[in-house]
Amino acid sequence: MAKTVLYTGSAATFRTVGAAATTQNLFTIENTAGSAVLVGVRSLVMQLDATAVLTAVMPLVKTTRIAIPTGGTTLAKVALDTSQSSVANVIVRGATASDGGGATAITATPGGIIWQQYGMRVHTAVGQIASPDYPLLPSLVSGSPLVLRPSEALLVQVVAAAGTSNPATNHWFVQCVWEEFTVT
Amino acid sequence: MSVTFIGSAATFGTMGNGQTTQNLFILENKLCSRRIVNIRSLVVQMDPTTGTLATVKPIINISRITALPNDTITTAGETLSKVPFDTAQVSDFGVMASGATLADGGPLRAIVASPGVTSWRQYSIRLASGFGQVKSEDNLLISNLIEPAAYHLYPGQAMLITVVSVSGANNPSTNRWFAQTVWEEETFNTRVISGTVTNNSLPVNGAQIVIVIADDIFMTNSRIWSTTTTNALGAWSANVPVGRVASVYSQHRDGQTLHSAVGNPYLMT
Repeated sequence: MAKTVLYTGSAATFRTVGAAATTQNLFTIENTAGSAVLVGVRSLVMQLDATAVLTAVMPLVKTTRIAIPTGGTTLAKVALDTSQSSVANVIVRGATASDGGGATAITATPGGIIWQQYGMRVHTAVGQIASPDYPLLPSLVSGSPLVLRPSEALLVQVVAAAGTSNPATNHWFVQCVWEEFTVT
Repeated sequence: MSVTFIGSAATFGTMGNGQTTQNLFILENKLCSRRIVNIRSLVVQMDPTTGTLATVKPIINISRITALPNDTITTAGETLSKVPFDTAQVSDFGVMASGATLADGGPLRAIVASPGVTSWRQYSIRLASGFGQVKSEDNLLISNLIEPAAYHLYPGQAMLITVVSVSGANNPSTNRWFAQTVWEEETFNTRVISGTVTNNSLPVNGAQIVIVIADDIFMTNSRIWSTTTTNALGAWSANVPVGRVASVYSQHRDGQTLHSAVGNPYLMT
């Protein structure tokens, strides 16, 4: 079988403030029904700047495969090569329409956990605060992409022990690189 | 297609501008370029020096833009040196790297460009307090999936690095930034076009051939691609990029008489 990559692109959410709830859907990428392509997710990362102290357990960020979501803010898809075009069936959603803006909630029900990641927390506000990439899929997907078939999607969800563990002083964003391909 | 150049460029240490947005660096592949630019690495480092910040840190965005500042006569930062990995290679004159200052910590010279859609982004660092070791590691501005999925810049495109802050106070002059990049330049896929120039059915030797290419038949992004001259048989040929519209025009002088032969427009290549 031959794999033909038709498009490789990326998308990034806006800076999304914590929802002060025990769960918060941050990001989805979906391949809707009837799509002529398969989606291979090659990179999915999160960054967080927490500007308030948290002495309890930090939120977990979980990636699960789900059915097609609703709601949210549709994000722009950016091609790595502008001679390629993404299919309309591939949709990327975030949870706000501007950096630090009001919430546009993604409605989605998480499935089985594919991968999860602790973010960071500030135990005391002393010294340097770094915000490296936190991978939301195992690094091996760069070579062996996670595949979304038609009617499948990926959900990135924050899960906090309490709403106070994900306050509005948490500033999240998620970004993704994927390819759209066919197999013949 | 073949790679004709691999090189790097780095900005000088650039102070924060105290505003909510600041263009730090731009890599342009201008319309006149005869190469495709593939960005292989793009990083930013920042030292906040003495500035502490209790609110959300600035975010560094990259975006591909098509309104290139150096294609117009406006302020567009400071041109940076392009350094080849192999000095036997030469960068295309249409590829330009620009920063926002001419010297480390020097006065700012703004890159006047409007960001496009964010392709990738990265938080910088901040100091909750000035304590202990402060590290400034590479902030990767493209996904580390740079092979084979490098960001491509066709002629007329550029990659812009922009710092975005919730307030000007979050990007003070005590922030000291720099950006650097590695890119390669490769040739287009080309095909040969050719023809013959005659005058009264006789071949014209030494006629000048001008080849103009454009993105489409409406002459979008038109520019002169190359010139050549006919041989003793009046024949000429040229390599032109695949996927562009080529138009060919000829002129020659016969003694004191100047001739312009019928051109061949809208050649789909």
